Amino acid sequence: MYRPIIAALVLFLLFAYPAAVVGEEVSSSRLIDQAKALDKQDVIYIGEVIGDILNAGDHVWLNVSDGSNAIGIWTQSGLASDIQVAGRYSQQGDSIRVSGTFHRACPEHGGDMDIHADTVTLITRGYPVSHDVLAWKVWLAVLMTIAAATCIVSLLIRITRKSSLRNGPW
Amino acid sequence: MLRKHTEHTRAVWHYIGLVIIGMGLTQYIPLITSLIFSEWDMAFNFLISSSSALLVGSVMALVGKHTQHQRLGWNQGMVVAAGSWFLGMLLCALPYYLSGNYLSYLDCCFDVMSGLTTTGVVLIQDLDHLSNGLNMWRHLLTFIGGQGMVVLALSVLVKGTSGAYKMYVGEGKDERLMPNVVSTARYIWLISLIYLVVGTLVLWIAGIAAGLSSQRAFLHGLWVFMAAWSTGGFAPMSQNILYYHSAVYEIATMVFFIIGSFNFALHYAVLTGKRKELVKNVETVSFTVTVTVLTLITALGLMRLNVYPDIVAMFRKGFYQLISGHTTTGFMTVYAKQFYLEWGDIALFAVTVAMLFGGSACSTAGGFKGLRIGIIAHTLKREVKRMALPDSIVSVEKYHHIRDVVLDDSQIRSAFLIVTAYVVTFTIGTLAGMLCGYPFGMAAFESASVTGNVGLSIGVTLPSMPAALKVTYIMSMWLGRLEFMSVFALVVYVAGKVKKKCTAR
Repeated sequence: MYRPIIAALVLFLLFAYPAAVVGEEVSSSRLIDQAKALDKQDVIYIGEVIGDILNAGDHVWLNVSDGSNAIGIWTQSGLASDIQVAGRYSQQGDSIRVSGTFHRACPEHGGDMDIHADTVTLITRGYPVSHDVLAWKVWLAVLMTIAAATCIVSLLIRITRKSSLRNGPW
Repeated sequence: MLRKHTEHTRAVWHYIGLVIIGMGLTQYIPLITSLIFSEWDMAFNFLISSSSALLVGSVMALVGKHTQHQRLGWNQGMVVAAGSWFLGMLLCALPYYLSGNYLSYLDCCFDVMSGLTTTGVVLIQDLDHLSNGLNMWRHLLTFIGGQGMVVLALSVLVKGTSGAYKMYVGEGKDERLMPNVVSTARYIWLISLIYLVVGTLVLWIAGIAAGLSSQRAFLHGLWVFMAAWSTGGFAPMSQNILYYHSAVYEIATMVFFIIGSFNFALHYAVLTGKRKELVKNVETVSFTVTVTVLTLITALGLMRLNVYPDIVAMFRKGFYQLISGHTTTGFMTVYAKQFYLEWGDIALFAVTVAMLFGGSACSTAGGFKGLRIGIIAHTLKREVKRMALPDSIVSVEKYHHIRDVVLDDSQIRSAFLIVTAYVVTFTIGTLAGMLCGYPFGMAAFESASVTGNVGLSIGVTLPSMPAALKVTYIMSMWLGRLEFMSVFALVVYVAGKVKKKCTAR
């Protein structure tokens, strides 16, 4: 008799309870598109830290991109101490998972759309990205530079010669 | 007769060539930036692109070298301005294409035209991982475009003044601050460079206060200032100004783009001690009136829908977006889709109108311009007066722009002509957007943004939008920035050449 009740409780603990407490995983597009519905809800957001870790006293701002948009994450400095690499041209940023409260227009931050994070977990450490120089670009650059220099010098000589003819030797 | 015609063509080629050489030389700035930050791949991209521009420019200048002292007519001056912008767009897009951050060359051309015209809408991919060199190029394009690439060439490369004024007017500027146009062009650059130093310093400090490292704060400060002063709207990160989460940064950028949207003649007057000009000038008066009215409408629209929780948020989101649109800057502290999904029709209407009104004439801003709005308002006043007064009384209407000016029919005609051309271009852009499947509100907002060279986006401008719409927007930006006449002159010029060739065959 108790079996169905126990089964229901187990299912609730497995699925419903985590969703209710730590929120559901959302994309940046969904946060923007359904901002009103998700306002002040607990959410989980995953993405790459981009640009800079903006220190603001005992808190930090992290801008986290999931590939579509970047969302501002406001959290305590201590919670973000593991975050070291922010994505730029020369590096892929740390991939993180944040859980916290989503604000469509945060009253604490001048109406910014943001997430106030309660937990920040490092998923993958960022790494350097190399941009190799292609051989054909080197050759093309050399050839084009020589051709351009020749034409510019030729133009300068002709203009100078014409000016001296016009103005005379004095 | 035929010889004279050929000489005119060669003179056009010569001056376009000089402008292109100027654009080739400026690419050494991002090239050096790439070298400083060890971005070797980007350095080679800039070397290829710069050499291409120098090659094309010098060949064109060589073709017309015998005509360098020839006086250009109005038609040729206009063709030089419009032709330089078109060819400049094609050549300046090369580093974008070589970087691999774009889906097509058309997208690269779109972003170059957006930069040069100080519009600010973008089709770039993965902006958050962009090299410092390419970011420098993007912002430099918008800085040069704001002052004018022909103005740059006139300041540095053109010695004689014959025909220079026509090229200067062809680029959408007509104020003479100094006795000759080359001195005027140099003065415009001097004003801009003084502000560049001050503005970069202020934003550098604001960036450090927002939590950026010293080096990053300097680069961001330099780039964001270039975009603010030029009323361009580009920013180094995809979140635009929202990235900094800083009220100080927002206020600093707001001050700079408002100053940037003022007429260079007003800057000159204030810098030479005529401070009363700030409150008397027809453009500052018209700007104050339109901003006040449109702010009230925006606030009403946002309050009605309860979009923002308090007055601070209303200021940092509502007023910032409105003033950014009105000065045709395009900096954003909201996501593009928030306009469409949250702002409602009333606030969107106010921002759309603000984008069409724009900043001042002879400034880095786009739109109808404050001077024309002032002239139209004074015309309305004059006509109402005429109706009210007896026929025997002749009333003279005056407005103040650097000096007291009597309103005459030629000014009225010119103001109405340009405003009509803007409205027609805006309508065509809106129609094109609707034909591509976007709803009226979105199509009108985006069309107002590109026609007025603003850069606020409601989410239409994406790499996935149809190519036909990209071409339409490129045309709108080009027409809006050069204020139509020089582009029309170029079209007539090219059509004339084609017709002549067909007749000869």
